[in-house]
Amino acid sequence: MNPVTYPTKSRLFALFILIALVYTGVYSCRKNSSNPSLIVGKPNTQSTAAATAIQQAFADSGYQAKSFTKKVNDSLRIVWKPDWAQMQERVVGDSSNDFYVPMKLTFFNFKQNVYYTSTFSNFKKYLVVHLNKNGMAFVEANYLPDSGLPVNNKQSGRNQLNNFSFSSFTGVALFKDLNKGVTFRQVSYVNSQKRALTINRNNTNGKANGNKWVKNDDIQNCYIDHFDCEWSEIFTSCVEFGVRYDPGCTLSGGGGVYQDPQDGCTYTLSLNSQTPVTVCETIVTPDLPPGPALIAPANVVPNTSPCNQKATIGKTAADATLTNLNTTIRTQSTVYEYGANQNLTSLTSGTYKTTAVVADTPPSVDSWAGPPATWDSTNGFTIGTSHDHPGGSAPSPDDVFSMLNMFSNPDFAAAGATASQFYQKNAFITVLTANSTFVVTVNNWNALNQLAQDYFADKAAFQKRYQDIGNKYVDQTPASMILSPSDPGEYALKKVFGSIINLYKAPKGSNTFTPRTISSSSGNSVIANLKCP
Amino acid sequence: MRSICLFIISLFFGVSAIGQQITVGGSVNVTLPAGSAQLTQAAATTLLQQKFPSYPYTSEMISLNGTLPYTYCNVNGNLLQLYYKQVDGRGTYLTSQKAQYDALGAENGANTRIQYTSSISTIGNNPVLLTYNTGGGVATYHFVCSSSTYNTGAIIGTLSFAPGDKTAVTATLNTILSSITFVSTFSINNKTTTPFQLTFRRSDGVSINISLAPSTNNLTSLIPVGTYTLTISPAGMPASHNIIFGNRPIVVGAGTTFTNVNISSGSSDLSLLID
Repeated sequence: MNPVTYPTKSRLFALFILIALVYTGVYSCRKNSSNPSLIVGKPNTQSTAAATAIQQAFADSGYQAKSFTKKVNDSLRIVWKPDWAQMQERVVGDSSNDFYVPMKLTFFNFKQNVYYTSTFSNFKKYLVVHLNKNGMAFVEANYLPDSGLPVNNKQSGRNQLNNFSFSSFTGVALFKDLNKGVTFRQVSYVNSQKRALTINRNNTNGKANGNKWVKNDDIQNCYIDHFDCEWSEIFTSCVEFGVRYDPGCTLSGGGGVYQDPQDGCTYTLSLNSQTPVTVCETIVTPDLPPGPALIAPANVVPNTSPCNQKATIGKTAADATLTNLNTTIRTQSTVYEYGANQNLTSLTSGTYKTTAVVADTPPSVDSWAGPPATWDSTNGFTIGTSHDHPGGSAPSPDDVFSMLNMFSNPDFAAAGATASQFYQKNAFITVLTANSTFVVTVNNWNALNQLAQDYFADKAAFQKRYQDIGNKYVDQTPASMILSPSDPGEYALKKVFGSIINLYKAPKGSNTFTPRTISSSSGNSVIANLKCP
Repeated sequence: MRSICLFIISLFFGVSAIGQQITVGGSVNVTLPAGSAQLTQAAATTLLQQKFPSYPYTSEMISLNGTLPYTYCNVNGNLLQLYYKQVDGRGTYLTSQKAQYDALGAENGANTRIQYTSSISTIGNNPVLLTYNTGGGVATYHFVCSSSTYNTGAIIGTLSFAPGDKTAVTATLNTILSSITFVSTFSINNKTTTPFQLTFRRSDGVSINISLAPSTNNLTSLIPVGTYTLTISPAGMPASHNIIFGNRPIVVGAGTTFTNVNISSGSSDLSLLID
């Protein structure tokens, strides 16, 4: 068992004081919250100080070197780096919070001082930080989905985890308590629900044998064995690096040179680390990391029919600031996608701020994430975005779901139900093409939120559905009835989202927007203008 | 005697392995692997649901329009859907179609998410646009096979399967696409300076329009098997010409209509000359 490096006494005392202050702040604020059990995708305002304390404590703990850096050979190390920007928070109870930090895989050649980021693995590694009034506990969590390639098949090749999702996680999770040294609990999940303990090894030291649930989420677990095997896969011919996680150390017979059946790349498989464990303990298992932000149902505003909203869309689009913004975006987007936030100066004025027109970094021909949304009187109140599709395509499903991002904004969350209702009533995105302007609003936030669960559960399945519908539209619609390059995408979008969204289209430069709908024409199901009374 | 029996047995299995030929849209012959079976649309839907029970969108993998004449086949446990589309598949047709399919997933890395690929190549004797995507434990090859010669048709299809079977399914699909042959061809020559509009009408509603440019030599069109009424109308300034249709009496005029036009192999109604 390796000793754990802790901070010096003076730093430890200071850290404890900080945690206590943060904790007091978090929970005294929570008492005033109207929705204390809301799961948020990222730490809220009150937790920002806690997040800072966590980063400092992690840096001081030495866990980066001891637990998240592993030797492959004389020059190569596997380095798992915390992705602090993606840290998520789950409120466990009145007195504790769990913070989930995804760990990014890199390979580091320290002799050449080169990091290799072309990596892959068959599992997700997280740093879980349990924060309560007694202090901070660090847990290393490894999540191995059943859907991956067989762990014990040496010829199985790369595993990219394309369909990984915590919202429907089926597989095994192994937790290591880093503070206590190495203690384990292994839990299997089916559709994100804990099912059964999967470790049941023979005991060889005379302690109690076996394992059991001792209450709902606690486990008493006694075993001795080697666990937590990590195998490195070095693709010398393809210059790629991977880690294969083998929680039960079932990959027997040592390493060797094997071949990926997909492309013939040869790789050297070698056992990188394993942990012998004899332990008997009762520990609470942390829940899975939270999914996307959820909207409190009480805040959902009534539906809006596209015809009723049509006039408002045209009036908003005619706003001089937004018009100038869209003109600038179109001018910039000759090759790359440019865009800007649509920020109101206040919730009552109906006037917009001039915001920066930017591309992503680096700029992309087919993607735009945009700057962070804001919800304050200085930067404005972001009720949507406008960006250009130089390729001429319709708004994408990702564009639509981007309207849910605001619910993870800490300033917005802190503004409460009034802000939420205002946003739901007024949010819209604008997508510009060479010939058209699209506007999308949400007609049913509850349904969009439900659909988002499917989307986040399996983005590839969701996207395949969209692609297959669009393909069929191109296949089956007579060429004379496909009136613009965006038609297949518009059709697929309306087919997938239905009346959850309102989709509007106007010719470039016009503020006369028409709702789009799916209708029947000469026996064909086609995208068309909705005739409003 | 024993060798004769072995020969007969091997002949039987050899013939079985050749596969079975089907005709799609009356104009395209496709050879499927032995053991393949044609399905109704309902049976095709059931096959997808049974093969991909955890994929929630199987119903949308079937035709958007239930009235279109799709052919559904169970090929080695995977669903093959074929559809004959009346379209001029020559020239830049496949390139323009590819742009439309590609654009659907172009935004926000969606194509990467579903491992989307697309390419145009020649398989067998025909140009084929082939795309691939996968998600939710389902993989799909989608293809458009046109002809560089004929102006009236393309065959469109999908083959859905488990992603782990990709290698075997790719080989099977390659064999199927290589077997595609366009039949029921109709030969047209227009030696005049007048453009014409030809319309083939079948009693079941099938209607094929061909725009015939002036001075067109040896244009070959695909006309599905059947009995048609053929109307020939001048698309420009009317002028009297000799209209020579198969072995029928020559018509002299600006246009005409032929009835009981028999489009099938060996028919004498398979050529038109306007002089």
